[in-house]
Amino acid sequence: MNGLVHHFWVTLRLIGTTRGGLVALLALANCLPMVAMQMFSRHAPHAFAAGPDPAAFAFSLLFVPLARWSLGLSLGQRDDRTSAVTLPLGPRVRALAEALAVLVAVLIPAALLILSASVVFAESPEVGLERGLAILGTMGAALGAMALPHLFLASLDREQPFGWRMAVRWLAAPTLVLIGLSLPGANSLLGYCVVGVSAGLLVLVRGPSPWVASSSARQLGPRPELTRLRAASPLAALRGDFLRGLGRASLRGLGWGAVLAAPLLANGSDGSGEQLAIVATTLVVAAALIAGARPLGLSTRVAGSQWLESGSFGRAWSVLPVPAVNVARAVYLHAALCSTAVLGACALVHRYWVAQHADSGGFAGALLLAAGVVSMASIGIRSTTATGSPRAWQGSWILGGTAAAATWATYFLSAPSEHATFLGALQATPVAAAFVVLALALGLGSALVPVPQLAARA
Amino acid sequence: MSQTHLVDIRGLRIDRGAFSLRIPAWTVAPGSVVGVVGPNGAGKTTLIDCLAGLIRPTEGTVRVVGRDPAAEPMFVRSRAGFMSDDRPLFDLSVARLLRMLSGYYASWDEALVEELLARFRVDPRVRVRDLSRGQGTSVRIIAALAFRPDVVVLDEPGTGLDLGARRAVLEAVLSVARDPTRSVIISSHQLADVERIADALLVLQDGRVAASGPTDEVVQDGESLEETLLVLRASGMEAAS
Repeated sequence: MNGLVHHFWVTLRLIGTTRGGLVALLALANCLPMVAMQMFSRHAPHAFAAGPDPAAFAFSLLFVPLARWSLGLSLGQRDDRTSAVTLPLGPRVRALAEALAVLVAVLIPAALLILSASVVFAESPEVGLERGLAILGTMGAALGAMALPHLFLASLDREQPFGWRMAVRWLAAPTLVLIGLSLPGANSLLGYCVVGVSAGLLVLVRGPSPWVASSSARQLGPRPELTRLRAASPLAALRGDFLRGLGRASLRGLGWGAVLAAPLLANGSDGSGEQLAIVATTLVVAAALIAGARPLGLSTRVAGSQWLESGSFGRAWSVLPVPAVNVARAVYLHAALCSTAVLGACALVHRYWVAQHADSGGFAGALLLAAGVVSMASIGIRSTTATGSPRAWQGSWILGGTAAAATWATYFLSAPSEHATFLGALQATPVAAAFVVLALALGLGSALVPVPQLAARA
Repeated sequence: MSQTHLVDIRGLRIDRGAFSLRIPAWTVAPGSVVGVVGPNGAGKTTLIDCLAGLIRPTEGTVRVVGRDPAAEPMFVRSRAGFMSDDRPLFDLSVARLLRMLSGYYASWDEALVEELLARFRVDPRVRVRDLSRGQGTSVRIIAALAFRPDVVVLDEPGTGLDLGARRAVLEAVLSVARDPTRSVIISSHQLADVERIADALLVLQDGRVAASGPTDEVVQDGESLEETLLVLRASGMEAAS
């Protein structure tokens, strides 16, 4: 007990000093998707309409990077290194102490936000206190989402590196999804939360972590033959790596997409077109997002080091006999293809949605706008992160972030859910139309940030 | 400009913010091992980045294997192997990483790779993320040597290496230098190692050449390289004041 209390205070002090602001921000960032889902569900302020709908599920996918980010950074775990593992505490005690400390540390900023939001909503006759309270519940769920994976992972036996426990870990996330989606009364706010948490878990267990290190340790297979690749020229080798990387990353993405989509199918498959559309979109969007996250299907690492700067992917290529501009072009093309796939999937869903729900085409249009802006911005951000200069990286983030903010503003100004078409919503509020132009221009600007670098001569 | 020198620098000036590196003339002959030494911030890494074509000189000419590395990076990098301990590696298994890199070099030598893996005791099945710092350095050295480049440029090859691996580096360097058509440039703070294997030295200090020439001329009789550097540093500080 003493160890638990001591480690709780140590963790709290760590959070309160070096990483306090970060944790608070991440907690709030974790809440955003849920708040957004709540906002989109105008007819059901407390809970979502029965059954998964594409918009809500799409937003729940935002948990995937957020959960991994927060879990990876918040407690000082990164790249297998944390001083916490050296403490004379069992993993369960440590996990419990850290989870409790995170909850407490997050509670204060979250409570402040909830209080202020409640006041605003109470003052607003259009929204009302009811929705404010719904947001409160959302945030509570999100806080739980942050702590749950720690407790869950810690409950697994670290002393048994392989065997059936590995399968349990993989089965646990889909099981949690199923449980969440079928919870009565919480249909399906909590369900979506669990979807997000489980997706985060799935990503987490794949990554390095001191708590899962023993389970994720790979058994080394037979020694491979070190036969060489033969290419006509270094540029031909780069083209080969580009194609192989795209294929490998797409396959990995499809695998993850299948994991994410399977619970939806398992949760009462009725074979309806709507459900199939959700599953197909989940597959494509997840595959494209995951494939796009690693330029050329590769990630870089400095052996024995903890942090990588932006542009490190380009530096890994810097002494190979290929011009830097060709590597940058390959990375850009990779990101552009993945973003186009995301946008294409969203456009198909938009068409399907409008055909099925003619009265809510405005909402679908807003979603398509958001997908378009994010897709464009992610091309620039991913490219500059991999091979751009620090200035280009900052530029793409600033433009992309502003574009996303302008998209949000468009949504709130135009209230698209109340119109049959998005165009109708924009015609009713010209200011929102101006924000659409702004969002698209900024998104395009973010995508074009790397272009001067790509246009340079080889 | 002489074609016989594998590295030929004339009137080099590189300005990077407040720092300026100036090397009036410097050549590296085939069959030699040249040590580039000096305190932190002397300009060693700037020089090596310039040799790799990653930095364009503000003034002067740089030729590596007879070509300008900034203008013809593909030609130079397919004949010169560069190793730096802080350059990122792709996060693959060592075997897959080396296989991927092999596609970029016509002269990649599979047998040499096997030999170097054994010499450095690196398991090719291990992923880069699971390598220690020293093992990561070893993999970088193997990648720089595996295509039998005419010039091997090693920046801090001793980082994180244990005694056995450092010995393996020295053996690898000497085996390259035994070939009269190839040369090695080694920049390191492991002065005893450099002194042991280098035929010639380039001593940099505050971006200037403090000394250059055959090792036995730069290092006075009865002194070690470390003592020589301390003397040069003191005299440099005296001159500056």
